[in-house]
Amino acid sequence: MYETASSVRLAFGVYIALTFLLAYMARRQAVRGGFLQEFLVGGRTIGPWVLGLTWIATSASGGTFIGAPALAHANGWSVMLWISGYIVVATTGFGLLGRRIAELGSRTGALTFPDLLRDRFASKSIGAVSGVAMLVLHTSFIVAQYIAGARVLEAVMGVPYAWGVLSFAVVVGLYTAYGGFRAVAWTDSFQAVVMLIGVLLTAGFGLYKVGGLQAVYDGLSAQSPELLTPLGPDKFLPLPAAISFFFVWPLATAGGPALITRFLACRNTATLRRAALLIGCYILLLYPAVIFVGILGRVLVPELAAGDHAMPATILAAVPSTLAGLVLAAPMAAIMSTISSYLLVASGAIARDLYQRNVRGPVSEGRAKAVTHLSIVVVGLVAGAFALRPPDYLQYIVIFSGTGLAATFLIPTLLAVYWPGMNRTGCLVGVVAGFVSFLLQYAAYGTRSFLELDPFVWSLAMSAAGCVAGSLMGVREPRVLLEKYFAPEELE
Amino acid sequence: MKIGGLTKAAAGVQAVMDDMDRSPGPDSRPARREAVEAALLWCAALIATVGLSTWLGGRVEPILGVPRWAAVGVFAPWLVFFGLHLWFCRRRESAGSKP
Repeated sequence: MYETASSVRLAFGVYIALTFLLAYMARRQAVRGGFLQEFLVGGRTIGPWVLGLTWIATSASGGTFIGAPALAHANGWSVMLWISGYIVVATTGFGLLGRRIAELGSRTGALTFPDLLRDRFASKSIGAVSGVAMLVLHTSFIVAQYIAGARVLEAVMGVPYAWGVLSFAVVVGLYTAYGGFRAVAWTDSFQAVVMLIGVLLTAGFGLYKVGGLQAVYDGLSAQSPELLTPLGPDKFLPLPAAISFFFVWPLATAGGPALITRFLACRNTATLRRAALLIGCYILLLYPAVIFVGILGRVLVPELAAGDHAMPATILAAVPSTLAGLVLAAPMAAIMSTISSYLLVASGAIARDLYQRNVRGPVSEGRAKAVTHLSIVVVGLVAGAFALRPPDYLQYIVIFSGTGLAATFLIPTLLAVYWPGMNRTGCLVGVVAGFVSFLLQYAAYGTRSFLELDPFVWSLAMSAAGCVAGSLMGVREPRVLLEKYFAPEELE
Repeated sequence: MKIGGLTKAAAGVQAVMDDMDRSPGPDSRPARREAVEAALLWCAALIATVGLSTWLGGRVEPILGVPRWAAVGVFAPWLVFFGLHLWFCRRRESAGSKP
C-alpha cells in the first residue's frame, strides 16, 4: 500500500456523493412513457453532450486506466503505437453503425441490441441467443471491473479486497437500479469529466516533477534504449501485433453491444454528429495522456509493488496530496461507468430479451419494473460472488467479452442493417462462425494466430464468410419485412 | 402566463420536430455511404500510422523529447485524422441528413 492522506478519502466521499446526487437529478428528469423505454434508453431523449460522454465513459474501462498505463510502464513508447488505433475510434464508432442504428431504433422501437436483430429477422431464436450472449459476457466483464476497482481501493486506501468488491457492487447497483439509463448516462458524463481532468492533471504534474519531456526521454534512455523504440522491450509489439490492434480498438469499439445501445437512446442525427465531434476531441486529449502517464511513471516510480499499480503510484508520486483524491477518482470513475453501463445491458437482456419478449400477452409496468430491478440485483450478486473467488478461466471470458463479442456480432450487425440479402440463416451462421473461430484460435494459438495476427482479425473474416454463405444458402426474408428496413429501390 | 404559454408552445414544436427527425424513411443508403467513408478513413489511418512508425522504427532521436518515429508516425497522423474526423462530422451536418 502507498501512503495516502485523509484528503484522498474525503475526495472519494465527495465524488461518490456527487454521483448519487446526479442519479437523483436524472431520475427527476425522467420523461413519461413506458417504463422499459425510459429505463433502458432514457426515453430516446439523450442530447449530444451526455451521449458523447456516456459513450466514451462506457468505452474507457479499468483496462484503460489500470492496464494500459501498466503496459506503458513496462514497455515504454511502443505502447503509443499499440494504442494508436484510437486515432479513428470516434470516426468508426459513430460512422459505421451510429446513424443507421439510431434510425432503426426509432422506426422499430428496439430497446436493446438483441431487439434489433430479432426484429430484423423476425426470429425469436436470434433474439434469445444474442440475449444470452449479452448476459453471460457482460456479467463476466463486470466481474473483471469489480476486481480492478477493489484492487485500486486496496492499493490506495488499504480497503480489504472483499469490502472493495462489496462497495462497488452496492454503490453502482443502487444508482443504476434507481435511475436506469438516464442516471447511468448522467453519472457517466460526470465520470468522463473526472477521468479527463484526472489524467491531464497527472500528466502535467508528472511532467513538472520529472523536469520536462526531454528529461523523460533521458530517463527512459538511461534505463533501457528499447523503451524508446516502436518494438519495445522483448519484442512487445511486432508488426502483425501493431496491425492487429489497429483492428481491435476501432472495430471492437464499433461492434460492442453496450456502445451500440447508446445510439438507440439519442434524440436525432444532429445529436449523433455533435457527440461524434465531442468524442474526437476527448479521445485526442485522453488516450495519449493515459499512455504518457505510464511512460513517465517509469521514470518517476521505476519499481512497483505490482504492474497494475503504475497509475495510482504515479498519481501519488506526482500530484500534491490535496489534489490526489480528485485525481485518484479518475480510474474509479472509469471502472464505475463501465460497470453501470454493462449492468444495464445485462439486466436489460434478462428483462427485455429473455422475459418480456417471450411472455405471451402484455407485461404490466409494475411487473416490468420488478423484473428489471431484480435482474440488476441478481447480475450484481453473481458478478460479486465471482469477483470474490475469480475462476481460473475468468481472464479468457474477459478477453472474449472485450473483443470476442465484437468478433461475433460486428459483421452480422453491419450486414443486417445495410444488406437486404442478409437473412436469418446468414445471421446465425455468421454469429456462430465468428464465435467459434475466435474461441478455437484463442485455445490453439493464444493472442497470436495465423501470420501472428490477433484472432479478432481472422474471426471477422470468418464471420463475414459465414454471413454471406448462410444468406446465399437460406431463404430471402419476406418483402413485407424488408420494406420496414430498406427503400423499395434497394429491394429490386 | 404569456411567457409560460410560449415556452410550452416552443417545447411542443421542438417535440414535433424531434419526432420528424426520428421518423425517417427506410432508405439505408445515406447511412451506408457514411459507413463506407468511415471504413476508408480507418484503412488510411492504419496504413499511415503503422506504415510510418515501422518505416521510421530505428529513428529514436528526440523531437521535443518524443522519439522521432512516435512524433511522425503516431502524433502527426493523429492530428491529421482528427482534422478529417471534424470534416467527416461537419460534412454530415451540412448535408442536412436526418434519420
